[in-house]
Amino acid sequence: MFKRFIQLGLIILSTASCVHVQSVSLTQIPEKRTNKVSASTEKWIFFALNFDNDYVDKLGEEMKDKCAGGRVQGILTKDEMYNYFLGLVLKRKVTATGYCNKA
Amino acid sequence: MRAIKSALFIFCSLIPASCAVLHHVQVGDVNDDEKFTLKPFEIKVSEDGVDFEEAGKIAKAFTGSKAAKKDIDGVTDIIQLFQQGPRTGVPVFSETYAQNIIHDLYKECPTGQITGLVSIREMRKYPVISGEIVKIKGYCMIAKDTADAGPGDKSRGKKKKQKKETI
Repeated sequence: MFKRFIQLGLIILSTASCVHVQSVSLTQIPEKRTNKVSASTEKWIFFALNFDNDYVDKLGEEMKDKCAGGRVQGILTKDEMYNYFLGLVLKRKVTATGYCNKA
Repeated sequence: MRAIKSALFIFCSLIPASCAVLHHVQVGDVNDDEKFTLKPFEIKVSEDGVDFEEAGKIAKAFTGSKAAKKDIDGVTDIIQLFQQGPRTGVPVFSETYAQNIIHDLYKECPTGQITGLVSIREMRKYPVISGEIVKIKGYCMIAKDTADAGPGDKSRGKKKKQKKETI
């Protein structure tokens, strides 16, 4: 019974993730803050083997597409790292949130 | 023996492959004004970094004598004392390698109107050495009438002159 309890505990612990904030940045916040837009990109990394960070490149374009013909200001960029299976599997997630204003 | 050989082969084949480490990302304001044409650009600067702590660990692994191991520890401790403080990546020999980015930006976009700037600070990690990289991606905003005219089109100048004459 006790052995099963330990096994269950280990499974729960290894599937639960720990989150770390790697970096945060914010640009000038606009006066009008009604239309919130957000874009995010993520990458799964196994056994710490990551060969490129190209997944971040599309973030700027995605933000532009979310507010076509307008202006996005007050962008909060958050880079997070999720740790699964005691660090064997990682997920990197970059989220950008801002306010879209159209003239 | 075969298992050790295959493990060694996998390890050796992984050495030339670099691991990409992301340190910082920032997305700048985005302006998708219809009056402008957006021209994408990318700027990348890098500098070689050396991880003396890792070099010390490797040297310790290859040496057999206890005295030599102690000496290596001493040397790496002294180096670590001079490399304290907050930083991203491993130390580089020239800390000013990213200073000219502003000039590169001006070269890429002489109008100075830039939008959708994504600044990335990353590192390519190899054993002991690394490539410390600063990458900037964005769009240069070019007014549509200027873009249509092109550099060889002199008709715009003539039109301006004609306007002045009528005034």
